This record gives sequence, structure tokens and C-alpha cells, in this order.
Amino acid sequence: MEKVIEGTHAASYAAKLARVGVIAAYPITPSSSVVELISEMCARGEMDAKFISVESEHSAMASCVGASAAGARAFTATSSHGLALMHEMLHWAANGRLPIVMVNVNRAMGPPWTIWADQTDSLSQRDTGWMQYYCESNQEVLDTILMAYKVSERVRLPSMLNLDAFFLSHTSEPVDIPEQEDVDAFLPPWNPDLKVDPADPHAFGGLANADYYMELRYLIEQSMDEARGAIKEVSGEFEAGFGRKYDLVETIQLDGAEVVLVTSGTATSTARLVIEDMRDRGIPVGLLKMRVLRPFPYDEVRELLSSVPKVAVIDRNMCFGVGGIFCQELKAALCREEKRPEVFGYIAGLGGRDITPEVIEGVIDQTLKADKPESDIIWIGAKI
Amino acid sequence: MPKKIMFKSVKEMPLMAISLSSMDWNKTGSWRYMRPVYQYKTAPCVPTCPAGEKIPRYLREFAGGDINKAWTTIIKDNPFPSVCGRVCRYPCEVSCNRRRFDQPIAIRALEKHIGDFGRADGKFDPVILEKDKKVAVVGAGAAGLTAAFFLRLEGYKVDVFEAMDKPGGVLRYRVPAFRLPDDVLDDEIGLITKIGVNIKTGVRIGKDMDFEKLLAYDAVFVATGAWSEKKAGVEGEDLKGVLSSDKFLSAVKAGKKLSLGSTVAVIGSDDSALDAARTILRLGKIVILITDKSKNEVAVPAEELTDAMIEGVELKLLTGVKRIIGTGGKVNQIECIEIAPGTPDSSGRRKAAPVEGSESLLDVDSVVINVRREPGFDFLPESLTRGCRVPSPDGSGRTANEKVFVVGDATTQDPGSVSRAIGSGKNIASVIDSFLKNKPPKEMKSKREVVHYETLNMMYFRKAGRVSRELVPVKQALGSFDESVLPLDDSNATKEADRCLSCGVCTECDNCLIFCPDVAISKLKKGYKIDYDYCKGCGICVHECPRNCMSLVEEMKWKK
Repeated sequence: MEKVIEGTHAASYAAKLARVGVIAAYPITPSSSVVELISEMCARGEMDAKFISVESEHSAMASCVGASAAGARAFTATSSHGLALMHEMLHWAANGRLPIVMVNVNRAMGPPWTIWADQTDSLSQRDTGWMQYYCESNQEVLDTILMAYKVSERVRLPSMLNLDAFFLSHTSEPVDIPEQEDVDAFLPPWNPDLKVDPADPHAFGGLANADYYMELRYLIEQSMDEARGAIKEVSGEFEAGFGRKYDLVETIQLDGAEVVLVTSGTATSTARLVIEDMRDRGIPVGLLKMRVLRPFPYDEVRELLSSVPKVAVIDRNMCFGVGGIFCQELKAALCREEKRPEVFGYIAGLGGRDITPEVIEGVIDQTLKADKPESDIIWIGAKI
Repeated sequence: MPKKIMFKSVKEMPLMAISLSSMDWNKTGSWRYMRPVYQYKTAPCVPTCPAGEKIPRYLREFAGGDINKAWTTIIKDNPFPSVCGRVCRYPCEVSCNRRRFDQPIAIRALEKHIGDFGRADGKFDPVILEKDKKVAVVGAGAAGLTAAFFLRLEGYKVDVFEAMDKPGGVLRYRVPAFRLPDDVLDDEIGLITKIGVNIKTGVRIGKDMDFEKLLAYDAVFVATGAWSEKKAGVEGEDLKGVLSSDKFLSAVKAGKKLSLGSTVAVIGSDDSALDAARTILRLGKIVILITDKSKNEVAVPAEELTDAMIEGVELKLLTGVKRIIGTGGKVNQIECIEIAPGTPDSSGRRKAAPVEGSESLLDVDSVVINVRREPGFDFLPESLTRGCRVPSPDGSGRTANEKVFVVGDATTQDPGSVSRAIGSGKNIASVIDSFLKNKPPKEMKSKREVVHYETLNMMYFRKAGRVSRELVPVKQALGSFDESVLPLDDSNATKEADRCLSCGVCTECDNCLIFCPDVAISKLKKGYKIDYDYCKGCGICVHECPRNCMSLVEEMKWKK
């Protein structure tokens, strides 16, 4: 059934279709409407789930940890400072091997106080052991949640799904909402063999001395590695069932490209139009959409970009003292390659500033004209 | 003790940090430096109750549906719940922690409710192991009867000698029936005689029988109260038409006809003065209560003052009496003077400061005046009193003769309340029991820590209003000497008892057990056990206990 819904509600419908058992959340703009709709659906009896209203995001994630440890499919949604408050529990969820799925609406961090789009919130959490997806459309939000549960439950690691504040969270788009029975066939109930069960008591998360800690961490990394394949496999299963195709990355017009633009989130949609237009004008440019940041798509990035002359990365985030985080990760992935492109790191669209077609074309032009980047960090559109 | 499992490589390990066998070997309690201690403490109402009633316990028993258990819990501390439920000054409610949250528990009304059940349907069949020692009690007032009750429960043969026709003392001969009906007193004294206390009325020691004869008993308890009236020290107090409040109340209770005229002034502001004023209203007279105190200083409980004002007692506060004026030897006026509300001194007492030139005259037909009462010991041999005004000047109850004891109003210059008399009777019974057993006296004061409001976790309680106090409509009340306060109905009483926070008294709510992250708390048949092998001393149980039955003690300082 096709419906015109905003991004947050695409997430709500996905949670319902995934038959989540426990939702624990604390409201924060712009993610509130994700759980508002879910709470309504719970209240109306449309969802057979326990909705826990908590007093903070820390408790929201703690509740999800508890629910997931007991074998329930757990869900939450947050944003920005709410996500930051969860930080401790994010480690707990991942290190506890709990396949929680969370929606994070990318909102800039204060101060100054702000509610608009920026990815620094989720990227600040990239080392917590969560898989990270960056979505471009409301359909992708819905589909990715369904796939994320399947991947998470297979590799026993949590997934964080990101969408840009307002550009996606509060923008209505037509979304194909799959039938419940089709989703049930794609995503069966989760029945973990290791869970909190009074009939079979175990201590969870107890003390491990130095003899075993490293091994447990090694196991997580093994699972992250396994997740690359799992994401591809599950995407395949999803495509077979629903006809929509996803991957770790997406490529647009890479053939013969002099410059490949790298984007994530909603900036990608704008970039698609710019690239199409520039190609029509005979300018050899392509686009790489980074859909998954964790696990990092090393193979794809190396294969697709090492032989390209120049790469322009647009980061709607900032790691102070280094630069854009996607750029930094991309450079790290490529540094081992014998042949590698000149990588230009652009910072744009922080705190909700528009990344317009003009901004993107400007980035490409600048990259085409220069042999080397003028500096490690290039600020676009900043009044400096 | 299960063996530790060792892993050789990740292939043998579980995916996550999970115990695969018991973790008993890991005695995490050794990390603890703070120790939670499960202990009953005491609610503030209990130490303020002179009779030491276990208030939270009986309220809980009652709220839980076992009213007979609640009643027996009370009478094990106080054989007069129905009496105290009516006339006690309820210091318990003043100290009630719930006062800080919404309103204090209506403890007095509940005690009356439970006591009235006991009078009608209570089952109390104590096992009394007879002893061959005998105790004589002089005076069948509250203190004497209470001591007799507890000594009898210990198995002594107890004879009570009472000068008046009936037992009860002040309760019978002074407290008006609209506050304490006779049948209530009769019923509760009936409980005392039912267990075998022998009351001999109409025997005035020193007149009908020599005190020395009582020395044939193994112990003698003198509880004769304070009946000797002192002068008020007001000019004109000997005029015709001036009566002491006690004499007035006794006369009305005895059914004597008094010619009071139409307007009566009552001078004073304690229970007797208020009782007198309300009695006068019932005799159809106009009453004016004159006191040099302000409303906050009046020495009666708030409920009694409210009742008196509802009934129409006119209060002349901060008014001193300069003299009582009469013509032809009969009172007809009072000269009053305004009192300035001076600043309290370091002891909190305000020095009465008459305002010069504020004198006024009040026309009255008769005057009832509060006077000081003192105990009289004419009947005691000189060897006991030894020139002292009271035979036990140190207040211990012991006298020059080791087998003679004296407490209650008989030792205090300022006559105490009914509950104080009951408390002193209960305490002396214990002292006499120890004496007769040749043992050192028992420590009566509980060593339990008093639980203060700040130490409760009020997150676990909901606000709930106190049960309202229903009175007989004023017109109807003033038309008779019937009781003026209506009884509570069962459901309101239960609801009210359920409001009790049970400060310091565990209700086995299981919070400690539920919240313990180390599963170190287990439930016993009664209460909980903390497994100190595994308790890390995090203190969550202490925090989550709504009623402060868990304390955190520094491990190094902990002594059992």
C-alpha cells in the first residue's frame, strides 16, 4: 500500500511491521513523532508491544538493553543530545550483543541550541560497536529498518539508522508500505538461544578479567566483518521479496568519471540531479553514496575509488582537529592502495544549512579545477 | 562449589559475556565497604505515645483485615484503647511523619474504632501462669488499673483498693460523658477484672483500712492520683458561686443540681476548663471562657478546641482575671485585664504582661475556675514520706520501703494526661515484676532508631486526604450528654489505617528484593535475609525501601 508519509512515520510503520515487542523512548525533536505514532498504535492495540515511557534517553536505551537481553525485539528513536545521553548504554548494547534497532534523526549538537540537520551526533557514536546506516529517502528508512533487524539478529550487533533532521524526518514522500504477511515471511520472530530466562539462569555482562576480554572483543569484530556479507545477503532477500535493491554503497555514473563525489543522507538526492545535469553537459563526474558506515565498506571503496583521479567528499559533520568524518575514513581506506585518488574534503550544510545544487556544483567545479586540495579541510559556504 | 570453566580459545567461548556455570565462587561481597542492614526501626508516633503503643503495627493489622489482632496488639501495651481513642491528647498525631506529606493519620479515631470493636467482640484469652505472690494497688484510676492489668498478666494476684464507689478515678468522676461515656469505661475495666484483677471499691486506705495492712502483700503500688485542690490565688475565689472546675465536673457527673444562673465564666484553658465550658453549654447556660493565653498556647488538643468552638464556647483569649467581685458574698462580676502577647523567652514561655488601664468588668452569675491539684499522702506512714511532699522524689517510683511503689499523678506536681498515667502504670508494673523476681529493672525505653520523614522514600506513596471527623449536629449535641463525636465507618477506618506510612516497620513490599542487582536478598518466613557473601553494598535496597527498614553502615564501623 502506498502512502504519503513523513520520514519519522516511515520509521514508525517499519517498527510495527517488524513486530517489535518493546519500545522505550524519550521524546526529542525531531525524532519525537517516530515514537508518538508508535505509542498511538500501541494504545489502539494495533501493535502487540510494550511501550515504556522513560525519564531519559539513557533509561530508554537501558530499557531496550533489558528487553533485548530477555529476547524481545527492541526499538527506540532519538536524536542529537538524546543520543549523546545514551552513549554509555550504546556500548552496553553492542558489547552485550543485543540486536536493538534504533532510529537516530541526525540533528546538530549544541550549543548554540539548534534542532537542524547535521551528522555529528551519530558520527560521535561510531566507535560504540553499532552498525550505522545513512538513509536518503523515507522508503529507504522503512526498508532499512526491516533489513537491519534481520542483519542485527543474525550477527548479534545493534543497528543505528540515521536520517537527516527535517530534510527527511519531516518531509512527506510516497512510501510503499509492505503487507504484514510479506514482512513476516521476510523477518521471522527472533528466538535467541542466549537470553535472560528465569528457567535457565545465567549472569550477563559480568566481570571478565584480562584473560577473556580481548577474545570477546575479537568476537565482535568477527561479527562486524560477517555483517558486510550479511547486509548484502539480506538486501538480496529483501529485493527478492519487495523488489527494491540496496547495498553497502550505491554508485551513479562512475564510468570514466574524473571526479567522484561522495555523499551520504539527503545530500545524495540533490547530488543525483547535479550529476545527471553535468553528465548531460559532458562533464565526467560520478557519485558514490555511502549507505553503510559501520561496518565500513572497505572492499567497495577501494575497488570503486582507487583508480579514480579525484574524489570530493561532502561531510555534513565535523570532527574538530581532523575534518569531515566520511572523508577521514575514506582516506584511511585508500591509503594502502598503490594507486589512489586525490581526496578533497569539503565541509557543508552544518546545523541544517541547505546543500543546494549550486553548492554541489561548486564543489565539483573546484575539485575539477584544482590539482590538489587547497587544504585538508575545505569549508563550503561559510562566511569566512 | 562449581568448578571454574577455562576456555582455550574463542572457539570455545560464548558470543557474549555470559556465565556458563554458577558464579558462586566469586564472592563479590568482599568488595563491599558499606553494609546494608535490614532492621526494624521505630515510627515517631511510638516513642511519643506514653503507653508505647505499637501504632504502625496495629494499623497495619487492622488495614489488613484482622481487627482482633490489632486490638490485642494495643491492649498488650494499653488496656484502655476505647478510652484513649476518646480522651488522649494524641501526641502521636503531632509527631506523625505523614503530617509533612499531607495530613497525619487519624490515630486517635482509629484507636477508638479498634477499641470499640474490642469492647463488643474482642477475643483476648491470655495464658496466665499463676504466681503465688500478691500485689496491692491503691487507687483504681488509669495508672492503678493499668499496673494491675499488666501485673495480673504476669501471674500475680492483684487486689485494687478504691476509695470511691466505682473504679475509674478521673475518667469516671471528672471527664464528661459526652467525651467518655460510662459504658466505655465500664467495658474496658471489665476486661481488667475478667483476667482476674480484684477491685475492692469503697475502701479508703487510711480510713477504712490501715496502710500497714497492705504491707502483708509482696508489693504495694500507690496510685492515688492528685485530688487535693490548691487555691487559684485570685481575689474573690471564695465567694459563693465560684467553683473549681474539678468540683464542678464531679458534681454534674454525680447528678447534683447546681444553681449557676444564666451566664457562667470559666477561667482557665486546660482540658478541665474546656470540659467545664462544654458541660455548661449542655446545661443551657451562656459560657465565656477566659484565659490569659493566646489560641496557640491553649493547652488542649486542636480537636477538642475546635469542638468547643463549634458548640459555641466563647473564648476571651489573652485576658487576665484581676479579681472576682461579689455582692452579699455572691459572685456577680469579674474584673478582666488585657494581656499583651509578649515575646517568648529562651524557654519559649511568654511572660504575661497585663496592659495597664485595659481593665473591664464582666457580668457573670457564677464562675468555674481551674485550680492546681496535688497528691495527698496523709494515709502513708511517716517512715515512707520522711517529710518529703511525695514519697518517691526521684521519680523512679521506688520509696523508702522497697516493696512500696508510687507513680502516676500521685508523683507529679502537674497532673499528667490519661495516656501518661497509663504509661506510668505499665512501666511500674514492669519495675514491680522485676523486683518480685529479684531481677534488675528492664529497660523500657526502646533503643530503636526513630525514622524521620527525610529518610522515607516518598516516591512510593500517594497523597490521600485524612478521614474527616464527623460530629453530632451541634443542636442535638447540646441537648444531651451523649458522645459528641461520631464513630468511623469500617471502610473509612480501613482506608485511613492504610494511609499509615509504616515508618521503620517493614511491610514486606519486596522492593529490596526486586531491586537488588546482585540477587543477594532473599525472603524469609518473616522479613528478609541479605547474603553478605555477594552483597556489594551498593545501597540500592536502602534507597528503594520506602520506609527506611534498610540502613547503610560503614563496614568497618559495623557491630552486630
